[in-house]
Amino acid sequence: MTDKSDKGLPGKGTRVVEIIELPNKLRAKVGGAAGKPGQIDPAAIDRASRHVARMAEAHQAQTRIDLTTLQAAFEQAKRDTEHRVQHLRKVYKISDGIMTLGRTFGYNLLSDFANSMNHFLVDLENPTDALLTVVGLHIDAMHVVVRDDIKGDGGELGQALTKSLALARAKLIHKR
Amino acid sequence: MASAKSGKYYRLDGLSVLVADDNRFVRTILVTVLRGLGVGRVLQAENGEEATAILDVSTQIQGASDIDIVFADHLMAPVDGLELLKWVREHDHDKLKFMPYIMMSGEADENAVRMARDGGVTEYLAKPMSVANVASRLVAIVDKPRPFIRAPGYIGPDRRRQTLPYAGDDRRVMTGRRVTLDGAQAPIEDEALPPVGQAVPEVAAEEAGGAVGAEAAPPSPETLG
Repeated sequence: MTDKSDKGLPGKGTRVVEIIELPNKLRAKVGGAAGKPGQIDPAAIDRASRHVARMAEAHQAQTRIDLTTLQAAFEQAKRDTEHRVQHLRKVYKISDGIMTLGRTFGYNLLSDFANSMNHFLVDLENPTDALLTVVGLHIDAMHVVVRDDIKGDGGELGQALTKSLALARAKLIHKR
Repeated sequence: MASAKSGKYYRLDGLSVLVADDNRFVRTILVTVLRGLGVGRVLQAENGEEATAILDVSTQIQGASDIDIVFADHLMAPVDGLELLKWVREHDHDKLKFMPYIMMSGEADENAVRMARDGGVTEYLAKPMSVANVASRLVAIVDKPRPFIRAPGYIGPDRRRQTLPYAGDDRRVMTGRRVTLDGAQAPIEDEALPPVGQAVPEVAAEEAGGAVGAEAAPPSPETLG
């Protein structure tokens, strides 16, 4: 395939935007009726879900490793004020991985807590002690989820954790 | 009940997908999902830098199987998802330049989502990951391909996905150029561009001041993710 669209462009006074229509080669590859939406076979989706479910134990082990590493990075962030931002970036990155797969394996609260925490770690220009306190509470909550193997919404304990973390975040926002 | 033979269900065994993520376990799970869904060939890159090498090779070796879709994480090093996207869209080879690109990222960094959209991302896979949302992104790429827009400061799929009612004058609708890329033949036709939401508008170069184009349209939340 060759892009012929550069002909005559750009030049002052000429059109500067092109709409480039591409042939839908992917549809040709996967089949399906032209112009009509298709779908992935539900049996394939079930199969993929079963394959993922088989990795549940590996996920539990990986999450424990990730949380340990995350905790270590967080402790360094508290101690090493000069490089606090770098340590918190590491916390953010590890938390992103935990968040990515928590819900995949039914640990909805784990994903939610990691996600909530990361909202506070996106902008790290001036991480305050108050921010560190809130981040620490989220990490503690994630430890509880893993320790007690809390799946789904976690029932009463899950709701209590969720509520207390929301309160801590609200207080931090108010302080800002 | 429809079967794959009836054409209702897509057959993914002919697809080749590249997964780029520096989190090995996340990458393993995504590969498991894609293989479970029936994708025939799944390549892996440990980061954006390795992805560029794999993609480069795919363009240089005669007879090498094309990579059809890239799944890339936003947060990875060296070369993160945004840098990889920029490299893909600016590549000389059309096979890469127009490649469907799915960026994976959490919702926490809204700015990253906007940057991905403005960098020419095809679809966004919002974390947490699930079999359902991976499948839905694949189907969206097949079912809802958008024309590519080449404008000053932007190359990528048309960022507007829907037509929204607007009562005022539409200053963005102007004459543009429509190019059809279909094999070696590329008929070029001039025409008035359709209304907002159906195509990308443009301004003449002298009006543009060299820095506006499709990106001049204000971002709309419905196009994010």
